Amino acid sequence: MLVSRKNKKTMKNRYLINGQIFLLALLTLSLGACKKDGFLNVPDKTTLTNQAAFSTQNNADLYVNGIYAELPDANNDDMPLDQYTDNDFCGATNMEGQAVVRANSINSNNVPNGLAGSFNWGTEYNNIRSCNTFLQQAALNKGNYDASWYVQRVAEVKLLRAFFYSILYTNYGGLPLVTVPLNNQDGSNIFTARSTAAQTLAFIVADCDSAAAHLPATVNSANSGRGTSGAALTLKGWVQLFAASPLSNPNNDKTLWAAAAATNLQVINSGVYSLFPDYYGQFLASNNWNSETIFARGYALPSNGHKREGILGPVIVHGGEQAWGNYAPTENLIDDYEMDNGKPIQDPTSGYDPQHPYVGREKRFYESIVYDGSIWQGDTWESRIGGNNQIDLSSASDISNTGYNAKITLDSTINGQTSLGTSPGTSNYIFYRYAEVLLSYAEAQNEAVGPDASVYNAVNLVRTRAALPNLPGGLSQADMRTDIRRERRIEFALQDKRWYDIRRWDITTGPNGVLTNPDYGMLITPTGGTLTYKVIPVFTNSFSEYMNWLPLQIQVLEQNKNLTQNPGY
Amino acid sequence: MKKTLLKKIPIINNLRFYLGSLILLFVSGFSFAGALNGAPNHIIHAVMTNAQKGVITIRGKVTELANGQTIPGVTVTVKGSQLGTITDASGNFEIKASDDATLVFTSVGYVTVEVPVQGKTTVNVSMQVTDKSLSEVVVVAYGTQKKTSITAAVSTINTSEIESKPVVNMTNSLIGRASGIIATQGSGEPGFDGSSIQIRGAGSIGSTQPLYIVDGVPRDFSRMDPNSIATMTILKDAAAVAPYGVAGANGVILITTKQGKTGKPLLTFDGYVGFQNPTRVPTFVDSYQYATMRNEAAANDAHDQGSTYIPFATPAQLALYQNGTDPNAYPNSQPLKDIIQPNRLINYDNITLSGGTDDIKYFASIGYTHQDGMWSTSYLDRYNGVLNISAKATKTTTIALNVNSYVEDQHFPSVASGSIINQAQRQTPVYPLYYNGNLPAGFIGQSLIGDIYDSGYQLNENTALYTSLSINQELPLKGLSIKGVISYDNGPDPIFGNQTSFTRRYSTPIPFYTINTNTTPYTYSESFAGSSQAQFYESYSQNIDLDYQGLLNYSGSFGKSDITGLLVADYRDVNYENFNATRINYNLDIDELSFGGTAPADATNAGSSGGEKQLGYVYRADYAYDKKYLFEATGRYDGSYLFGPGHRFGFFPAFSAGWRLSEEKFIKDNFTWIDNLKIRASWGQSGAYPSVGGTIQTYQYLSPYSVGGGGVIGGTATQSVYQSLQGNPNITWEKSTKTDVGFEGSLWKGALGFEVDYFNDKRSNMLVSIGAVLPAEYGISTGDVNGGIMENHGIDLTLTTVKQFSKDWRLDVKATFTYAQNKLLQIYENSATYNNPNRRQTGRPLGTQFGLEAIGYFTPADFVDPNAATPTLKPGIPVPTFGPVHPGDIQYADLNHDGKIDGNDQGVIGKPTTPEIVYGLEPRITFKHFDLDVLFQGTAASDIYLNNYFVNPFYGSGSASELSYNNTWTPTNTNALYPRLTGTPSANNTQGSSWWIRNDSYVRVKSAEFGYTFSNKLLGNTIHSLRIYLAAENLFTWTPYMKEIIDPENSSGDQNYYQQRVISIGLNASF
Repeated sequence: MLVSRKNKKTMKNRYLINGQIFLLALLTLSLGACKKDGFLNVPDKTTLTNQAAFSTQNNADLYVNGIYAELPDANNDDMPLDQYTDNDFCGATNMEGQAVVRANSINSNNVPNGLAGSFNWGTEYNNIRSCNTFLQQAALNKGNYDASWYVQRVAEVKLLRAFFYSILYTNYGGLPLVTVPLNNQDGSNIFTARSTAAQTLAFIVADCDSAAAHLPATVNSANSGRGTSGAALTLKGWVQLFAASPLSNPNNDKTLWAAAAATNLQVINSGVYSLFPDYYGQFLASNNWNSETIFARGYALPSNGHKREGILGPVIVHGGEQAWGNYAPTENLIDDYEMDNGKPIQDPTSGYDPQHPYVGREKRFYESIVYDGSIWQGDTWESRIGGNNQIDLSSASDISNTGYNAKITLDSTINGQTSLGTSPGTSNYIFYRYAEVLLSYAEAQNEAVGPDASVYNAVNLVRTRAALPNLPGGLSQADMRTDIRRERRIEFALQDKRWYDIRRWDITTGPNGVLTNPDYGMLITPTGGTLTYKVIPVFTNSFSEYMNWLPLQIQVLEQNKNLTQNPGY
Repeated sequence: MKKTLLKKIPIINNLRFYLGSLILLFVSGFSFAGALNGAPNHIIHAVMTNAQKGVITIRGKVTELANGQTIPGVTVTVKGSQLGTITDASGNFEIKASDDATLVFTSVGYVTVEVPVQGKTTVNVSMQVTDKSLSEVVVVAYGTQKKTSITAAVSTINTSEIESKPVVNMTNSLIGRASGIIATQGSGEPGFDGSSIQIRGAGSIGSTQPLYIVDGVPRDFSRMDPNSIATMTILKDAAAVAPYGVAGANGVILITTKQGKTGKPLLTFDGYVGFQNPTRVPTFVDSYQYATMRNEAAANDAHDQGSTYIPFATPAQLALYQNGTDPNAYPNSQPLKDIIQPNRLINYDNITLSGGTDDIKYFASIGYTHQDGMWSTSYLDRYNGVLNISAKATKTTTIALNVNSYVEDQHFPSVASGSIINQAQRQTPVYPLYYNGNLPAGFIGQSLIGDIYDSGYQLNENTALYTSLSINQELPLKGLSIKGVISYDNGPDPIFGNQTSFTRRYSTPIPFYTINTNTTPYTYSESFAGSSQAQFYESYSQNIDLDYQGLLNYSGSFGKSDITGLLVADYRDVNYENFNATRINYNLDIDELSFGGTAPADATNAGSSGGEKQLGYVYRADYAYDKKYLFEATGRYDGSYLFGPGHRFGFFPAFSAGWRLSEEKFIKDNFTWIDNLKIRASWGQSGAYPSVGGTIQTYQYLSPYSVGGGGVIGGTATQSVYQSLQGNPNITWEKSTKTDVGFEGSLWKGALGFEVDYFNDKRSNMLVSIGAVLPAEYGISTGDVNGGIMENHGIDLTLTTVKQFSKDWRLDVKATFTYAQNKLLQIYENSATYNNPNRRQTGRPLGTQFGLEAIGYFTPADFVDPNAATPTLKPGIPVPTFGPVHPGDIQYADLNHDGKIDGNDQGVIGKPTTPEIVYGLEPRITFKHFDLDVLFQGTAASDIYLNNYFVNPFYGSGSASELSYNNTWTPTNTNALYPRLTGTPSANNTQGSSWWIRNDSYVRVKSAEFGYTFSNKLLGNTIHSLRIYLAAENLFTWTPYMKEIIDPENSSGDQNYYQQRVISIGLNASF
């Protein structure tokens, strides 16, 4: 770059020339950089490309791990589905159960979010896309994987896809069936119309069948949490039961019931599952993946634990506020627990004493409910007037609005405050367990054929674990139906099943509609040494029959003109 | 730039070459310097030999015309020669000159005076203060320009007005002081109390944050020492911001730091100590009022449910709340007011040393700031250091080193202040802060006292080190100079938000007590909130910015033509990294990372890294004819790493012109009262980084698979990869097309100065989500597309007056006014709102508030049987779909006439929360040794939405505002402010509606300062000057349209830390 000139007198010129060179250099640079902007590359160090994600079996395995993470994180949800029903009334303003669902406020601008947000249309279709992407990309890269690995993972992903679809199907009805990752850049149609409910059912059943055919019946402990053939069949049996039920099957087509019964029987006959002897204990972390669990979401420390006990547990314990108490079981639920002699409390011969309502009830009552005078974590819990958890009728605190808190699915060894602070819970959230298969079978078989011995057998298996006597023989189909429905309510109380059951049975509305009659609580007043028990209404439920099917969110409808809204909205 | 042109020119595209040439630029600067050193010396010599005959000695004194005070430092020269002297501290001078010479007296800030000697040996001169605005030099992009010749819209802040105000965060000093600034201070929390600033309002649906440039480099200025700031310039129109290319569209705030001046070393001390109290704290009910309201709510609830009325408090209990005889079981607390400690300390000290010779100038400053929070566990310490040195290495070479640094230590409880304030507003008065005066009480599982005093601590140590080394070399061609600047910064990045900081957070179990009133005496049991064993978190992050600038400056005059030119190459390379670690289950109470629980699951750590690159070429060419007709072309060819290969570079040109009417002969001759009058106009384009919701979007051109947590398989958490985005390879910058017409002038020797601008900014290419045009079944986020268009226009105005009434009285007034209104033109909103004219956002200002239109309360006459538990509305009355309603609940308008009230009945209920109008009025009165400076500042045309604790009694099982007591609907109080009471606010009444909209226009005494300067007579020789002052910030606030007691700037959240009113006393002395 240096310019050498012999003539010293032209020094001034030299500066000029140098100056011009700088200018030129600057300009040249500018133009150079304009041309090639790779100069400005800054690599993104947090992500992988499409190719890398599926090029190896190991990476593709990580992709499947991600889909499992999309299963609803129900153990960290503060609005369990029983709040949508007559089982639970948590009074806090922001609770969707009382603010939206039971306030007759469901509309296309106000769609309840469901368990851990799982009713959200977009969320589920994100999950479905994850599955579709895997099925597409894994097929393209099949040569890089072990054949058996590929077959099993594809089956797992089909089960997961069926599961995600089943959440939408059982809440919205017929769905747009998307089976490949939609692409807005290749000209293909991305606006899919809704299939009928029957087509949707058939699609889910087909995915379940395909999964069941290729999945193992059991997995070893290193693979606990992965799908099994039993899980696929149970899911299939559940959607078939839903489809056979009055809401979807108003003409009572018995073949639908028979199909549901057959699939559930397939699970029973597989011999893989059995009822875990301890009703309460099956939900504890120490009994994760027990003989009754069919499909569940796992939790692990340090960062994948849950705080179920803090969110849902009893509020005041040992004088301190430990938990949010978002489970406040209603008197409506309490009254459905039988006496330990197997008789409902409405039966005059049952021995029920309204002024001693917690004496002589069936075992599951004591395993499921925290009630006045019961012990939680070594402390006596009292909802009576003046008690440490005095019934809070005006929602002035987190304390129960009904006079009850929940016990089932909550680990009494976990302190609520610790739970909220550190999410130490590792107990599974169980989507399906064997008791449901038994009761689903009983229900379907009773409807398809009538109360035959296999029906009794299935129901009595569940009752026996609860230390209840067998059902009396000779029940009519209708009586059996009543008993199975009550059995189902109690066995799955506070386990997010009743929202589906009351809708598919179409009992939400009407004269005895469970969502058109009030929620009740128990007002206990001490006078002198005695307690007076009075059942009082605590919430006026209101619900419309058309809300048995949820509305598609307004944005969902607007963004896809091929979609149609459910009736009533 | 045309591509065909490019191909013909040799292409050198190598970074190393670029850096090499920059180094060369520096090196050659030195070599030039050496060669040129001493060249002009002989000229001075020649002049000196010229003035020899008839020489006499002339003495005299220079005073100020207005007040007779002597003026030191006036340059006295003999006209036509280089001979000269300077007046001393008493204004005296002595000079030798021929008896027929003419003396010329010049001094910055005074009108130059020429006096013929005519044989006199004593010449006393009075000088008149000039109108400062005429000689003012304004800092602009990559340089300075004379105020009178600027054709762009810029406004400046008089930094001497903000130096001694008790304001810790510099972003809070701007509002009202410069036209074009719209700022909102959302929080008063030490360390987090910066204002969000918009220049000329919101021009984009993305980020509206201006670009901050300190000493030529993008840097955060919020934590700078006010005493180190020399100038603050707001660049507003295209002509001003075009040199910042892709980053300039939101306007630019330029800061320069102080440099030393020739003269004796001057040591200055400046310090103040003050007290802070919140401007406005919402008042909540006392326990008697609370219990009374609860009883009313319980009665209403029992009626609605057809249930039994169980009073919250019996008459006996109400009496206990009232008489306070049982403060543990029946307390009467004011949780919010009780936790706020009064008169919190604020303190600032600064020592500055500056001075210099013609060859070396220096400015060194050390500052210390302490700011207490509302409680003792929250406070801030900041240490600022500045060292600016410039040296004339040769006659033509200047080397300068600027070092600007700070360390800011923010101390907090481990529970965030937002959570504390939320809890304090929520906690009902029937729960005390302490039982028995010493046991911290709990409320809904949380303890206020525990959160504040027993939750552990958090320390954020934010540091910055800004360094620049520059070499300026004048070239032999007259007016041509080159400059190279290398900056190394280790500190916050104002654009991307990364910072250099160190954080420690130690979270301990928080003890609190619950009372058992069934025992005698009462017993108390202890519980713990938060984690059961202590947890510790430590994070270190570092952001390093290297910035290289090469500048070529030219300035020359040819006859009546003045030409200046500028070429800059500016390359920026940023690297940041973060490392953090957490330990849980501390058995020992030692807050060090190494001593946490020993199980593998007790330790986690994480980290990340990244970077940014930008390369730009700036030009500016000015042409002025006869100092009357001004033309400028400026712009930048700019590239950023944010965009995909092939899409990285853009060109941002601007053109402007001005006409100085006051220089025309017909004005000069006929209107002598016009000092200055200029019309100017500009048009140009600039860019903004693509952003969504204020966050700049990086790597949207990729379709990445991210790494995250997977499901739990086999009892252990797994890792996962998942597709996070379907990218948009064509993503590009926001494009802003700005037009500005300005009119500025100065009349009657500065008695009236004005500057008024009309502006229009059309922003296109704003990032919008195409989510609304994809089906919800699409199932993945897509990269945003550059589809949004909006327009922003308005007026900004500055008026000034300077009036010297007498020797003792002087009045300076500055008034600023900014009006900006925007309109969304295209945003791809979903059709649910687009197709509903009431809800359509397109065509309305950004941030327009939508909701239901409240038309009053339901009355008993609206119902078939108003006393029913669930009353039925009479036919024809639109039915709300938010649950049962009763008389006293809010009734809404059925905008779509479908007989029911739901989300489809929404319409416009309020203006955006950002005010459209901001104004300031700052009179400054000087009387003898006293001075008074007050800034009135206000806003207009904005609305806020009130909710939760402020207006809904018992929201979140919480308390009720004092305003709501006796002000809720009852059958006998139907004209109430708030609807009927229920145990929890009903869904119907808490719908987003016009009922909760308030006009939050305000007028503030934003700041005030009253000072006294000691006269020189009182001071000895050691003290050069001494001034004491009393200052205040946020002294008074008026919100004429809002009954709720809430600060208008931070009213919209439950977790906002209150703005502070500060009153301070200060001292400024120089030695």
